[in-house]
Amino acid sequence: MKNHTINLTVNGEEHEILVEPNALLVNVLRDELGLTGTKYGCGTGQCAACTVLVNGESVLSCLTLAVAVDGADIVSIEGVARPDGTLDPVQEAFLDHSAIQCGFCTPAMVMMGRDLLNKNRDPSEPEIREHIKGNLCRCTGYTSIVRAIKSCAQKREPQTE
Amino acid sequence: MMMVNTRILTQEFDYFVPKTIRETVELLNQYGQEAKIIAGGTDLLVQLKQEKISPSYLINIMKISELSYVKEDGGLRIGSGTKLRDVLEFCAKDEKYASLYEALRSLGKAQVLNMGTIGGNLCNGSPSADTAPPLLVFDSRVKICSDQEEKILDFEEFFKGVNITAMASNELMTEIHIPPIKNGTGSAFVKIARVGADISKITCAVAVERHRDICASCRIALGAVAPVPMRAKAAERTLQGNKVDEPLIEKTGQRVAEEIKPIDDVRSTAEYRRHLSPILFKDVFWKAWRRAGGGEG
Amino acid sequence: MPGEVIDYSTAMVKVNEDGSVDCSTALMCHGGGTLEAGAKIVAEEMGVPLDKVEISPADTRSTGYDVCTHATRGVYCGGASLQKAAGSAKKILLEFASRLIEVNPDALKIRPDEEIGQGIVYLEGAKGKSITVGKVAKTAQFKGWGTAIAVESHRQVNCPPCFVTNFIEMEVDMETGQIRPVRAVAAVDAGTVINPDLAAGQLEGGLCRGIGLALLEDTDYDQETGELTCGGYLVDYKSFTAVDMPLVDDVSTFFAETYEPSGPLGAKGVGEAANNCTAGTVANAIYNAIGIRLKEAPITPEKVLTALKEKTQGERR
Repeated sequence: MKNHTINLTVNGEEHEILVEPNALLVNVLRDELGLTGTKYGCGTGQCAACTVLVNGESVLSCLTLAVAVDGADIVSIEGVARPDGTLDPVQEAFLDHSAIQCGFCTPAMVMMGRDLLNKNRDPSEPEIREHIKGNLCRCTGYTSIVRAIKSCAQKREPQTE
Repeated sequence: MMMVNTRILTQEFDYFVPKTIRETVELLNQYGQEAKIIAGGTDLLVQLKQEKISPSYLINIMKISELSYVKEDGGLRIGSGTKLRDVLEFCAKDEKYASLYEALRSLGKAQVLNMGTIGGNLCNGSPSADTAPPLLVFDSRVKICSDQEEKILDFEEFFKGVNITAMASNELMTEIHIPPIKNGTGSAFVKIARVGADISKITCAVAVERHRDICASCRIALGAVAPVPMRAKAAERTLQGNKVDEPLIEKTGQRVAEEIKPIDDVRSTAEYRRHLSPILFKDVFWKAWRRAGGGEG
Repeated sequence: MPGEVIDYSTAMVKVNEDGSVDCSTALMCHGGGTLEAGAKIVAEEMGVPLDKVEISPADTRSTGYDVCTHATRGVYCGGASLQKAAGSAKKILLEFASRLIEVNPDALKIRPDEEIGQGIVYLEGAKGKSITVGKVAKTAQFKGWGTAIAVESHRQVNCPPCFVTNFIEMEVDMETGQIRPVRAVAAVDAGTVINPDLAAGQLEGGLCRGIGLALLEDTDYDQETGELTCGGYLVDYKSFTAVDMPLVDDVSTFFAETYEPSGPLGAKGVGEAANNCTAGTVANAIYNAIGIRLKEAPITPEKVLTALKEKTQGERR
């Protein structure tokens, strides 16, 4: 296999990494860059725990080859809060509504909540459920998560785009 | 620094990112059977992880700008490398593409729509490809290129069997063309699946051209009920040219149930699919019919 | 001895010189708020403000044995051992305090004072006979009396079950056999509920998993090799998504306000019980809807339609 040098901007920081073509983006984030907030769940696109934003769009990083995102701007859960540590309104809402139990689905759920609110500042409950329908949660039954995202409707400006 | 690769993918392959269609077909010509096109990767990577395929070369077509477009030009032309999200947003603006819009909406989760392409949804040759029934009812055509020629196929000729398309290993689908849709045509699509984001158990698309209460022409297509996405032509003949009323639609539904060739699989049973097909057809038909009449009907 | 299981928890509680309290326990929190509950129990027992209680990072070298955080025993057993250790540490602290304010230690109490941000040791009804927890601990330190610290290994005397009830309204489409939950209620008798939000979350999650179990989940094994036919991939093992569950306003949870005398602060806990009765409830609701008992999970639309057909044919005969 011929290796490739890729350039990624991850949470605002630039990285140059030499990768094998069969390396997955989720492993670059977790193993190479130490950003373990993004989870490897089912590996087959069913659970969406590996969701990150690539060039502003939510994607499944476990089904993305690292080489395929050369040059991309990536935001993982670690990049959602402000650099000074102030939490994003979606993160605050998850805490306020006890929408975190085991926490495994949480990074991806927060990313999808943030993604939805970036596009639609006042989503209805069905719209929220539709947007997170690909993200599995075994703990909460989605009720507290939907409440948390709904509570962010029409709140202060988002931090990340 | 060299990344330490945990090797979740066991296959080793070389990777290319052509910038043009020409470059792509030259690569396909060179590597043929040993190469696979990768677009969004949502199907391909799952196949790699399940060790169902083992290509020696992957050709990424996502950087080919000449494959990504949606434009109205003698009908609707969609580049095969266009993201499903982009096709969805375009079709949302015009009710005449309702069938395709509804198929894209029910196709899968947001993340998959952001990654996947319309070509990718079709080129696996899956009988449950959600975009296939709408494209069938719109009498679509596909453009297929090799380094020697460019040919245009009726979409009906594209699917040959389960996971088999009309494309050879050195060919690339470049465009999907929906011919102009006549005024007075309405379309719809419904999908039945196990959960909110899933591969279909059965899908149905209908496009009807309406003159008052006469069905001037119609197309009926179903997915996941035969080795290929199929047109229910006997059912179409039952309906076409006749005055639309409940008994006729009932009868047409029965024709649909007789025509399909469903099997038992992990998602459902043949019996269920056969039972559901007329019910689904009726639901989809009346939606399309109402749309054809401008909302009343 | 047959029937005997190892079941005890060990906890350590100590009072620091600034009035804060540290606890060390081998209890794990896998999302049920077990450690939060432990902190609340210690705060209540000690009489200090909750934000003054910390659970220390732990590993098995620095903690006493705790059999496991499972079987709905985290709060009931683990919390009880924390309570016991807190009680013992408190006894030492009050004995130190009695030397300083010259009151019989058995007459002393501690109450949390949010303004000062500390626990206050005091004698009921007597002005001037009070001192902060921090001052007691600090004085004990430089007088060389020692630290108010205790370790307790505690085995609970009972195994009181929690009780969960579900009420679920299901809608069955008679044409397609599709089934969906419309409204759902889950109630639990967990004694004193120490983390109400998370207990409600456990009930809601139990509804989701349980309904999914009833309608979707199926592990199919190869009869010869014993291998899962899905190969271990989640691709065809379906579970409920956010669009399959009822809306927020259509899901309710309740707590039966009971008190378990042997539990810390009257608590029992709720764990797996949250989804034990759900599948049965779903099946009962479907029976109520269509008059057919479907006894094999998953209750798929395919099975419902077949059953409806058989019933209609049976009725015709």
